[in-house]
Amino acid sequence: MRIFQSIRSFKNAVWGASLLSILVAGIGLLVIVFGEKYHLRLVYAAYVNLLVVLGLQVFMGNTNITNLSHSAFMGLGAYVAAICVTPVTIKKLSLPDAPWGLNTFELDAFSSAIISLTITGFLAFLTGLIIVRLSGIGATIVTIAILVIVHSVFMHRTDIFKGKQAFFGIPQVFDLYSIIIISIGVIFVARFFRESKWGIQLRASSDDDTSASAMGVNIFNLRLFAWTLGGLILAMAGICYAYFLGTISARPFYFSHVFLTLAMLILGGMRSITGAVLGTIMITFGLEWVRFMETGPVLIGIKFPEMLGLSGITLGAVIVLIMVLRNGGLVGNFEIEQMFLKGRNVPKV
Amino acid sequence: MTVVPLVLLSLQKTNMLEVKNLSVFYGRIKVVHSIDFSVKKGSCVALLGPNGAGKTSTISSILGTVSSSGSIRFLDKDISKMHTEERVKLGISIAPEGRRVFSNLSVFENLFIGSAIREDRKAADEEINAWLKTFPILDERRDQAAGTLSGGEQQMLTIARALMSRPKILLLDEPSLGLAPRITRQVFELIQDLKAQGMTILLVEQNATEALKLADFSFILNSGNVIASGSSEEILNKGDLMSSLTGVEA
Amino acid sequence: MDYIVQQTLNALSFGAEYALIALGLAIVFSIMNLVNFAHGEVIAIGGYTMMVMATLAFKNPIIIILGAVLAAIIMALFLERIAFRPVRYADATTGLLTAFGVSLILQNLFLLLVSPRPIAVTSMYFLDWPIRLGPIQISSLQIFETLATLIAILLLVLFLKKSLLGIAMRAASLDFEMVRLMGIRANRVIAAAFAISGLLAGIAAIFIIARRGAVDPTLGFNPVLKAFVACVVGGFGSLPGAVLGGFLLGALEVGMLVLLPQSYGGMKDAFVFAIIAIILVWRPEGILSPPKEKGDKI
Ligand SMILES: Nc1ncnc2c1ncn2[C@@H]1O[C@H](COP(=O)(O)OP(=O)(O)OP(=O)(O)O)[C@@H](O)[C@H]1O
Ligand SMILES: [Mg+2]
Repeated sequence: MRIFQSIRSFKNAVWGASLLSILVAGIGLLVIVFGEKYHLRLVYAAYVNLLVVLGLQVFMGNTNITNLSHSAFMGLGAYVAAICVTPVTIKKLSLPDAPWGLNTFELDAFSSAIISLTITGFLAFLTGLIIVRLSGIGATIVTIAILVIVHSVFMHRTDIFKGKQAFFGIPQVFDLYSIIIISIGVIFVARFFRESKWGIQLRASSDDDTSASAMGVNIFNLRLFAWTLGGLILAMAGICYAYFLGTISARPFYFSHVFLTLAMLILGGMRSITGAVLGTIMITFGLEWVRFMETGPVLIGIKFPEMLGLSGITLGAVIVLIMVLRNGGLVGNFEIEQMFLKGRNVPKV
Repeated sequence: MTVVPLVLLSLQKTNMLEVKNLSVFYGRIKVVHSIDFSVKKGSCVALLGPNGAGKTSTISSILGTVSSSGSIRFLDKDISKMHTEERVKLGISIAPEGRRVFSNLSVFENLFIGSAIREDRKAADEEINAWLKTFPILDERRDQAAGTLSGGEQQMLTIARALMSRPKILLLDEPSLGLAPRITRQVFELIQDLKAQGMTILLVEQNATEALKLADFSFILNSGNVIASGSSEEILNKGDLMSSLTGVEA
Repeated sequence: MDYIVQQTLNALSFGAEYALIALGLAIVFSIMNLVNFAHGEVIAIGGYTMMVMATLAFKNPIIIILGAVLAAIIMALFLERIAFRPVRYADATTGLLTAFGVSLILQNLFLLLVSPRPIAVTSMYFLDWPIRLGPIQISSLQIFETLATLIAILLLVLFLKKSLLGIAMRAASLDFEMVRLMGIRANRVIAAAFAISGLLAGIAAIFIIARRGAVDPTLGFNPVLKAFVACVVGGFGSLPGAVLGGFLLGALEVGMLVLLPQSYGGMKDAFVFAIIAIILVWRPEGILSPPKEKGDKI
C-alpha cells in the first residue's frame, strides 16, 4: 500500500465511499422507481452538481484555497464533448462558421468524452501551474479571472460555442443509471485521494505552510495534482451534463452556478467527502422548496407573494451562517464510516 | 511548592498589581498553573525562569492578550475581564518580547502612537522631543522607518514608546534579548533610572544577574509554577537554584 | 497625437474608477485580512440611494451625492458589525466566503425588494458634458472622475500620515495586537477602515451611475471583480499597490480596446485578465507586495 499510509486508512476509505455510494445510489433508484418524468431531470441535475461539488472538494477541501473557477471547467468539459459528439449534419446548421473544421467531423460518445477530458485536464494543468504558485487569496482571485476569461470566450466566440444561444443536437447518451455509476466512481476517487498520503500531506500543509515544507513535502506538485484531478472530475460533470440534456448554453457556467455548488460544499463541510455529499443533498432538496415558495404559491389557503431572489438569499444565508457558526461545515472532518466503526480508533487528520 | 510568603505579601495594601490563582491557556493547553504574585507601588519586581517557563504568558495575561483564569487586580480593581485597551488606559504599559516596533512607521510615529491614550497633546509632544534628545540616534532617524534601526535602538524605542502613555506600571519582557553586552548595560541603566524616578516595574529577564541587581523582589517561574520567591539576596543565597534554573553562577 | 491624448484620458478615468474601488478593498484587507466581496453591494447601495432620493423628489444634486456617500458608509459599517465582526479572527478563507455569502444575499435582496431590471437614475447626468479642447473631444465626467480619485488619494495619504487613527491603521496592518497594546480600540481601527472603504465606494457609485444612468442588483459586482484583480497585481494589502494596479488595469483595458479588432471587442476582459495572470506568474506576490513581518522578532 504505497498510496496509503496504513491499511486502516485504505479500509476506512473503502468503507466510507461504499456507504456514501449506497446512499447516493439509493436516492437515485427511489426516484427511478417512484418519481415522475420531471423528477428525473431534477435528480439528474443534482447528480451533476454532486460531481461538481466532489471535483471542487478535491482541491478546496485538501488545500483550503477557495476555488471559484469550477463552473468554467465544467463548461469546458461540456462544450468540448458536445462539439466532438454532435453529428455533422446538425453542426453544419448550428455552427456554419466554425473554424478549424470543427463542423466537419463527428466522433462517438466515448472518444468525445476522452478528448474532452484530455483537453480540459490539460487546461487545468496549465492554469494550475499559475494557481499553485500563488498565496491563498491571490490564487482565489486568479480562479475568478479564469472563470471570467472562459465565460467571455464562451459568450463571444459564437462561431464555436453559440454564446447565449443554445448549442443543440447533442446525442442523449446518458440516463440516470449512467450518472449514478459515474457518481459512485467519483466518490471513490475523491475519497481515496483524501485518504492517500498525498491528501494527508496536502491537508497538513494547508494548516501550516512552514511545518509541511520542513517535512520535505513538495506542496507545489501535490497542489498541482489535486487541481488537475479536480479539473478532470469537473470535466466529467460537464460531459454528463451535455450527454443528458442534449442542449447547452454558456449562461449556466457562471457565477450563480459557482455560488450554488460552493454553498453545497461549504454547508456539509469541505474537508470531508461525507460533507460534500450531505451538503449537495440538503441544498438540492432545500432549494426545491424555496423555489416553490419563490413562485408565490397558495398554501393552506394563503396566497404568498412572488418572491424572486429568495433562493439566492437562502444560499447566501447558508454560506454566512455556516462560516459564522461552524466554519468547518456541518460535519467538519467527520466521515460517514466513523458512525459504524466507532470502537476502532479512526485517524483524525 | 510553598507560597506562604506570597500570602503575607499580598495582605499589604500598597500592592499596585496583585495576581492570584492565575492560569494561562493556549486553546486547551494550560501553560501557567495557578500562580500568585504581586508588585508593590514604586518597586521593581523580577520574574525569572528558564525558556518556556511561562514568563511571557504571565505578562501577556496581565494585559489580556492571552486567555487566562484567576484574579488580576490593578489599583484594587479586578481587571481580568477587561479588554486589553481598557487595561492600557488604566495605566499598564508593555515593552514586549522581541520589541515589536511598528517597523513601517517612522521613529517619531512610533512614539506618537505610544501616546495614543493621552489627552494632553502638547505635553506629549514635548515628551517625544525629550526622548529624542535622550537618544540622539533616534533623533537622527526621526523620520526613518523604525524597522531600519538596530536591535538596541529598537529596544530603546520600544521602552520609550511604552512610557509615552504615562503608565503607572511598566511591563518589560526580556529587554536585553539578543543585545551586545554594552547595549545591554545601557538598557539596564535606563531601567535603573526609571526605577529611581519611582516607576513601578515588572521585569522579565533571562539575564538573572542583572535583573537581580535591579529587583526589590523576585519570583522564579518554572514550567508554569512559582518555585521560589524572595528578595535578591535570598534568591542569590539559593545558589544551587540559580545555577540550575538560569545557568548563571551565583 | 490627439488620439493618444484622448485615449490616455480614457485610460486615466477607467483607472481612476478601479483605483478608487481597489483602495477600498485594500484598506480593509490590510487591516483585517478580509477579502471583502460585498464591496460591490456597498456601491450598489449608493446607487439605490440615489434612485430613492430622486423618486422622493430631491432635486439638489449635492444632497443626493452626500446621501449616496453617507448610505455607502453606513452600509459598510453595518456589514462590518453584523457579518464580519463574528469572523474577525478567523482565517482568510472563512472571511472570503462570508463576504461571498453577504454579497449574494444583498444582490438578491435588491432583486427581491426593488427589481431585477435596471432602473433609470438620471440625477448624475449633470456631471457629464462634452468638452472641446482644440481638436480633442473629452467628457467632463472623465475629468471629474480622475480629479476626484486623485483628491481622495491625497486626502487618504494625509489621513494615514497625520492623524493618530491613520497612523494606527498603518501600524495595524503589520501588528494589530501591538496597536491594541497602545490602548487604541480594535473596533475603532476596523470601523475606520470600513468607513473609508464605504466612502470610496460611495464616490465610485456616483461616477458609475453618472456613466450608466441606471442601477441594477449587479451594479457593483463587475467593477469590484476588476478591482480585485487590480489589488492582486498591485500586491494585495498594499495601498500604493491598489492604486497602481487600478491605473494599470485601466491602461490595459483601453489598450485592448484600441488594439483589438472590432469583432474581438467583447473579449476585452478575457485578454486583460490573461495579461494579469501572466504578470502574476512573473511576480506571484504582486508588483508592490506589502511587508509581512511582525516587527523585529529575534
Ligand atoms: N501561542 C502559543 N500557542 C501554544 N503554546 C504556546 C504559545 N505561546 C507559548 N506557548 C507555550 O507556553 C509555554 C510558555 O511559553 P512562554 O512564552 O510564556 O515562556 P517564556 O517563559 O516567556 O519563555 P522565553 O524565555 O523563551 O521567552 C511554552 O511551553 C510555550 O511552548
Ligand atoms: Mg518569553
